Amino acid sequence: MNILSIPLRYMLRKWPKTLLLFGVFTLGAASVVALDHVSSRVAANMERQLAAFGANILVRPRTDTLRVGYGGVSLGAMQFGARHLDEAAVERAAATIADRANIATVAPKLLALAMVRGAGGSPVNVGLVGVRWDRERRIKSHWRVDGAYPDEAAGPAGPARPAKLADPDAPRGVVAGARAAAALGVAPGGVVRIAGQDLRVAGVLRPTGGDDDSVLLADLDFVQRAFGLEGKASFVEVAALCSGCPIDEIAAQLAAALPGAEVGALQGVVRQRMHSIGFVQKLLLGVSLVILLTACAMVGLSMLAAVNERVREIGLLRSLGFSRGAVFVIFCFEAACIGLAAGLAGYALGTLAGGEALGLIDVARGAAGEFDGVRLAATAGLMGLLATLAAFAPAWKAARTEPSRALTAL
Amino acid sequence: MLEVRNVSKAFAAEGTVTQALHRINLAVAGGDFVSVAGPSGSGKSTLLGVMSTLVAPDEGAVLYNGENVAAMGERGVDRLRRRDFGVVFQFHHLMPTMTALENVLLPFLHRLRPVGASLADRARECLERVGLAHKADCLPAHLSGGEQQRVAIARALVKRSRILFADEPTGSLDSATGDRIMELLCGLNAEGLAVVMVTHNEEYAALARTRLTMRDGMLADAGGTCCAACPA
Repeated sequence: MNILSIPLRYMLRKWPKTLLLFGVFTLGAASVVALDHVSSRVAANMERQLAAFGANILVRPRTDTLRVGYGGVSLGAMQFGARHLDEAAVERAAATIADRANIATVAPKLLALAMVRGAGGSPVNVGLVGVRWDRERRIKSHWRVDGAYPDEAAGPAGPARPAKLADPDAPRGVVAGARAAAALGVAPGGVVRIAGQDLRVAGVLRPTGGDDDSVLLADLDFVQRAFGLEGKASFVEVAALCSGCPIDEIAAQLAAALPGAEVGALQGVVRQRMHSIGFVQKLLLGVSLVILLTACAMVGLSMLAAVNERVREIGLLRSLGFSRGAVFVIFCFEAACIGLAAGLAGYALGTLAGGEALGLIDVARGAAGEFDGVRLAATAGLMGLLATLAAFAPAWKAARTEPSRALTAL
Repeated sequence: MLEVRNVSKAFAAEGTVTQALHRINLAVAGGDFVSVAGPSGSGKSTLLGVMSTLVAPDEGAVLYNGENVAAMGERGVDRLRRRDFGVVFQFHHLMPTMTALENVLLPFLHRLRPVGASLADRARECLERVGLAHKADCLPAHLSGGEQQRVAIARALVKRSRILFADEPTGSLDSATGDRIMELLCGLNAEGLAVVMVTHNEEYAALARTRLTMRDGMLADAGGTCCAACPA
């Protein structure tokens, strides 16, 4: 037995009161752990999804511009240098840089101007963009299409590949931007003729308000073959996960691996993405702080009530020669024990509750709760510390109790 | 051993100042048995509180073995309470969540160092001395008032106090139990323990070697009877 036996005996023998305080603090700890768990998982998931559905790095061929003029008369600017990227080189670079694990999607594109014959019969000059459909759709999650995408087996408009096209290497079809479709007079299920080939219009993009509205999107392989640019890309959009990794660093690594290319980070996208994640985290942090403060206030008030209730006992201890420090330790230890135990139980409960909550949230689908020894220890330690801090004022009051309080006649 | 010099103490409550002690002078020798009697509000318990260092006097000094208690500092006073002074209160004052044995050991629980087996044995001996060895594991709630008071006395004995201060030790007990407590106190006094007892009971007060009576914060008279009157 030693000085700690006093609070331990008190907690043991007054177990209903101890249990109540433990329960309140455990609920507080569990709420915070669950919120933290959910927020970190949701944030990570959101970031993963945002990163997967939007490019934040742009790789373009390096070009230089030369101003041409003579005798004070400007003849404009002339671009020289490589006009296309080697698609395989970019893929290789993305797969070999140090932060390759953070690369979510590499989406190459080849731009061309094509004479397209639509429903009206007369050919129209339209921008044609060759894409890898699976990758493009991952980074363009905002696209909505009437009809279907060419890589879909079947859509509302029926099979994307025209039945008469028996060649498995034949283009599967195109998706027309809203304005381009209007100019060509085509709708889902219609046919356009590009470079001597009939391609079925699998779908029409709903207006995006961007460049996508004015172009036709087709298989990259088809566009490369049609314009004799096999293996080439006009630019490549890269979506990188940037949790804990500066996007600039990934861009720099890509630039180093691709000497003939210009690599730029789209900071606005990153900032917006981070802002969204930061907002969620700040909101949940605020809620967690309120819960923690409430739990601490409960512990503080409960300890204060205990000090008032046990003033005679404290007076007795002081009359037996217990120093102020010893009395202070008794109450702080009591609070620390409750906080520590509540931290352990709260972590377990919070992790389980967080896991359950994640199952209900679509955005965090696939994320599961898991125990982490370090977090468990940190939670227990933090709750113990907070409970002790919350008990400081009551413990100080107890320590200042005069031993004369033990004398009933006074 | 213990000397009270010109001690005064006043309490202020709701704008009224009550002079609890007025220039008290008193000396307690080693092995003495002092009883302090007097009507309620006469200042008996305040005097006991001042003598046992539980109450700080406004004026005057309390000297223990010639040393001014006020000059000992808080640590010195704590040490004095732990080692030399034992206090028994009217309402027993045991820790309700600790057993009788643990309550007896309480004076040694002020530190992190665990209580050794020898101290635990001594605590059992003290409980045996007050006739409660068989109740060592009982909580105070399961003890009668007299038994609780005897545990409190055992608690004072276990640290081998030099002076035992008893504030109305029989005040809340029936006469038979009160007699047994007084018998115990007289026996301890006969073994050399100085006892300062505050009581309303004239019969018990008469058992003391030195009898003091207080009135309005002052010692009214002092008389003496032989401790031989104790029912040893």
